[in-house]
This record gives sequence, structure tokens and C-alpha cells, in this order.
Amino acid sequence: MNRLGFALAILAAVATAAWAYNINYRTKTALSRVNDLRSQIATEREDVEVLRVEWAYLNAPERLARLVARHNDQLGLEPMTPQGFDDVAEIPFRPRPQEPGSDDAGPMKNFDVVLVVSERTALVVERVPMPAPRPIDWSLQ
Amino acid sequence: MSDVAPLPLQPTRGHGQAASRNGVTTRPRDDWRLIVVMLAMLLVYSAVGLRMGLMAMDEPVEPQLAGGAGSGAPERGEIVDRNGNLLAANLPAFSLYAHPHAIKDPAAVAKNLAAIFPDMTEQTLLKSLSSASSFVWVKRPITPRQRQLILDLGHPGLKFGSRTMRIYPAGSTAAHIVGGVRAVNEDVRFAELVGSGGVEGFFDERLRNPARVGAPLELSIDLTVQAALRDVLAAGMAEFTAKGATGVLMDVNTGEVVAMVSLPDFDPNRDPKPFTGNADENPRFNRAAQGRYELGSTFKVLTAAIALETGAVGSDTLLETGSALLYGRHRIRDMHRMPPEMTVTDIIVRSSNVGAARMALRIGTPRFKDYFKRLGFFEPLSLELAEARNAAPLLPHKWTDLSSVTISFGHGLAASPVHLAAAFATLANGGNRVRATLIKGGAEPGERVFSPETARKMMQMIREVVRRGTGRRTDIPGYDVGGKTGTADKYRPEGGYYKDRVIATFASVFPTSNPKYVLTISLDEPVDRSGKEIKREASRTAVPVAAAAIQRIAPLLGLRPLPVSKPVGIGAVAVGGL
Repeated sequence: MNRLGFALAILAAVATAAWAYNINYRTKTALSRVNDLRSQIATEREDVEVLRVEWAYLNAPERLARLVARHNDQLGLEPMTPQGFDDVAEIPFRPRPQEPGSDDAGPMKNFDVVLVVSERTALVVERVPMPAPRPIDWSLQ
Repeated sequence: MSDVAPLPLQPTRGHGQAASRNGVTTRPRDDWRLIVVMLAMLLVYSAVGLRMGLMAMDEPVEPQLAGGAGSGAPERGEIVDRNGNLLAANLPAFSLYAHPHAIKDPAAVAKNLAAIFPDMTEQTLLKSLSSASSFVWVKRPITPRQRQLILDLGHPGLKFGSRTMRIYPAGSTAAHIVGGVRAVNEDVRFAELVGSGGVEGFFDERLRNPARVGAPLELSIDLTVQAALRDVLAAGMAEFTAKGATGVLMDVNTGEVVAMVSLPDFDPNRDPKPFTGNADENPRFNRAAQGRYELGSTFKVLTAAIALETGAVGSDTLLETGSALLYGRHRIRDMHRMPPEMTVTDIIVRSSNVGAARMALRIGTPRFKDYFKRLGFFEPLSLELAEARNAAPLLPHKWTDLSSVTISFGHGLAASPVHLAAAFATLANGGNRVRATLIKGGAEPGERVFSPETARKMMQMIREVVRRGTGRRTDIPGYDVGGKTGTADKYRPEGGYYKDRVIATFASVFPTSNPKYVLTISLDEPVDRSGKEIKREASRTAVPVAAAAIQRIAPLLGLRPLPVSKPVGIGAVAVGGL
């Protein structure tokens, strides 16, 4: 009886030791993985930070203004002015493609179908002198 | 252990025999067993003791799972504008130091380094690299790219430390607002950054507080508007060859400063060059918040508002303006001939010193002074800038009736342009005290200073100034701009005033029909040489700059021009603008 008790106790001790050993090493592995992940997160975060700063730097108004000034012969941009606000009804539509049925009408072929033209807009469109259509290079899109 | 006593320390009988019958069995083998048990106990306890001793001697180690170190949080909080654009951020960087004794050929190293750092001379580098000390800082911070260049050189004795670098992506656009940082307690691995001006200085503790470091500090500044205002001011400053220019744009209801520009400015990413000369000409000097100027006739608006509020005059009261006002030994007169009598509105529109002085005398000095106190002219700015705390307005030593007379038209009291903007905003929002702030969201509306009725009348008055007075050039269709010019002779340090140096100011509100923003523009020593005569008045200098600023800024703020009754060809412009 006593011997059985001893044997059981020893068995339990061995099992507990094995379990503790196992847990200990699993914890160590987990901790080192946490450390790895953490340093990975830190690196990622640093990268994100660098990219954010770069984004902010590249989009700084001063820099954009400089770039616009340099390339404005192609861009044709101007500062926004109070005259830039107007009623939607005042905006003229693009001229319809010459041959509505033909395929080379490009992306504008469904233009009339998409927009619902109100009576007032139609009146305005008639009234407003159209700007000369600029040649549009669709290949850029 | 007492229950195992008496311990049989001497074996008495032979092997395998019971010792006695009185309850304690003693066998010879027991001695051996006891010794084994004792040894085992000794071993276990000494192991435990040893371990305890070791633990006590060990360096404490932070629990690894408690977060904190290594979690990648920034060391210093970011600063962003009201739309989330970065104004101040951190970048990983390096510092370069050297062990001079390990450098074989200091001259060659100095030459190579001077090529990498254009802002350092070969001589200074050589001097520090050939010094007798065992450690010298060469440059900090340096960028990863520069580090690579130095690594490529392959010189021994040059070492790198890692550190964080504070970077201001917007550059000089918001330089005076963000301020800067300096490094303290630097060592090779780490440098502590401490705010040394502007918002960085004011909010240093908040930005360094580990609990709040992850949340960016949101300012009321709109970077796009700030850049546009700076652009316009720089152009104006060049056109009128001014020494400096200031612009403050403030929300009239919350006191939020949406844009604040002071020119000349600086790049906060560069080390400041030592500046010699007048303090107020230093590019680091923030004219908008630190500068204290006599703001001239713009104060007449405040005088008129106080006069209306206290009932000293009504809008239709006629005041004598035809002749100079004699006060004691002093003669107050106007620059131009004025009609013999004018209403308050006309006094403001035609900017009569005599009229303003008479209003001040009618109000009476105690009440006049009290209103200036309630408008915030007796205290430093509430603006969250490290410098602003020291820039209280310059008041007369003793506020006499004569002080009231001169202050009524803006002389004898020097305040910052932000003070003026806050006072105008107080009038514009219907009379509630506005305290300037740089934090998004602004402050609670303050106590009532003027009645809504007075505020409304004043808005009409300054609108008249723009319609038919000195501010005509800012009459932008659709924005109902109202404002008041002020041209103040500059104070001469040795006493008296310069005849040909002025501060030209235009304080404006738009739209006056439903005030949203206050814009004050000040130019330091502007000269308009476009006409036959040289002009310095604000109407020819500050006003055109303000007009350009409002045209640029109002659309950026999303302000739609109000429908204009007179035909100005808006339709034609709009179509052409497509």
C-alpha cells in the first residue's frame, strides 16, 4: 500500500516536472516569438512613419506649388478664385460626338443616357456660349 | 522536530532489532536514514537560499509581456493640422561621433566628411577630429543616406549612434507655429528632445507624456490656407519692399487661428544660424504673436464700438471734426481736411482722429480702459505658443485722459496682431469675448463684451469702410468684406516717431452679413512706388494684400460668394474659367 503511494507520488512528481518543463519551454518560445513580432511591428511602424512623413513632405503645399509652377504650361492650373463657384445649371455639357451610333465615339457615347437634363439646364445650355472643345487624348486614361 | 525526539544518536542494539516497547522504535538503520534526510534538507534549503541570493543580486528585469518598451510607440507625439496633415513627426536617424585617437588620417577624413556635409567646413572638422579628447560629436542628427556614404568611406574611428530626429514636413510654411526642439541629455544611444519654441515648447509635457504620445496634437491651423496666406504675403512683401509681413486668420466664433504667418520666416528643419541684429528682425521672431505694434486707426473701430455700447454716442450723433482737438498742450488733428461735423459711421469711414478722440473723451477714461481690459489688451495672448506668454501688450504707465485720446486712434498702446484679431472677432461674433487658440475645436464662447446690436452696427460700419472708404480695394463681390485700415508711424528707439516708416495694418471681417472669419494683415515699412508719389498708407499697401489674400483663402475655406445684385459678369467669367 505504502509502496503504491510512493510510486504514485513519484509518478505524479515526474509528470508535473515534465509538464512544467514543457510549459517553461513553450513559454520561452512564445516570448521569443512575441519579441520577434514586436520588433517586426516596430520596424513596420517605423516604415509606416517614414512613408507618412515622405507623403507629407511630397504633398507639402509649398512643394506642390513649386511643381505646378514648373509644369504649368501643360497643367494650366490656377489658384481657386471666388469666380470658381457657380450654379450647376450654368455648366454647359460637352458637345455630343459627331456620329452617335459609331463606335469611335469613345467613352462619351453614353453621355446623354447617363445625365438627366432638366428643362432649365437645357435652356441654359442653349444660352451659354460653348468653350471651344479641347482635343482630348483618351489614350491617357 | 520535537515529536521525533529523543533522537537515538547511538546505536544500542544489533541490526534488525526493535529497541523498546514504549512506542518509539529505534532501529540501527534509522541513523543512516536521518542523516540522508538531513543532507537532503540541507541541500534543498541551500539551493533555495542560493537562488534567493542570486535573485537579490540580479539586475531587475522588466516583465516581458507588459508592453511599453519596444512596442514601437513614438517617443514624441506628432503634431497635425486640422485636416490631419503632418506638421511635426519623428524619423529614425543617426548621430555621428568619433574617437579621434582611432583616426589614422584626420585630414583625409575631414575632407571626405566636408564633402558629405556641405554645411560643415573642413577646418572645423579637422580641428575636432584631431583633438586630444577620446570622444567628439561630429554631427547630429544625420540621415540614413549620409550614414551610408560615411560607411562607404570605411574610416575607422567614426561611429554611429541611433536617435530620433524631429522633422517638419511642411517646412517653413508653419515654422513659427510649430517652433522647434533641441536635444538634451544626449548620449550615443538616445537623445531626449525638448520643445524649444512655438507649440513644441508650449505643449512639451503633453507631447512627451507616454500616455498621450500615440495621439497626435491637432492644431486649428489649415495647412493649405496657411500656405496660401504665406504665398500672398510674400508677394505683397516683395511688391512693397516691406521688412516684414504678418497675417492672422481667425474663426470669429471659436477663436481658432486657421492661419498665422510671420515673414521673414525660417526652416525649422535646419539648425538656426546665430542671428545678430535687432531681435524683432530675427526670422525666428513671430511678429504675429510676439510683435507688439501700435496698430493705428484700426483701434477706431474698437473706440466706436465702446462708444456705442456705453451710450456715449448713437449711430447718428454728430461729432465736431472740422478743427483740431486741443487737449492740454497737445493738438490732435487729422491728416486730411474733414467736414465740420460727422456721424460715427463717417468718422470710421473717413478715419478721423479728432472724431475718435472726441468719442474717447465722451466715454470717459475709466470705462474706456475697462473695455480694453475686457477685450484682452491687458494680458498676454492665450495662444498656445511658448513665446506668447512673455508678450503682454505695452500699455501706458499711467492711463490718463490723454492716453485714452491717443489710444482711441491706435497710438500709445502696442499689441500683437493676434490681439487685434481677437478683438475684431469679439465684435464680429456678436459681442462675445474671443480668446485666440491654436487647438482644433477652439474655446468656449467667452463672456459678453458688446451687445449683439452694437456688434451688428459695427459690422455695417466697417462694411461701409470697404464700400466707400479706405478699404475699397478689398471689395470682392460676394464676400461682403468689411474692415479698417491703420497706418501707424513706427516708434523710434531713441524716442519719437519716424516720419517715413510705418506699420500698415488692415483688419477685416468677412462676410460682414454673417461673420465667419477675421483676417488681419500687417506690413512693416511698406512703400508703394507704383504711382507718381511714394505712398505708405495701409489703403495702398496692406489693403491690396488683404484683397489678394481673401480672394485666395475664402474659396479654400469653402466660402461661396453670396449672390451679387449688380451685374459683374460672373457668368462670363465662370464660362471662361472652365
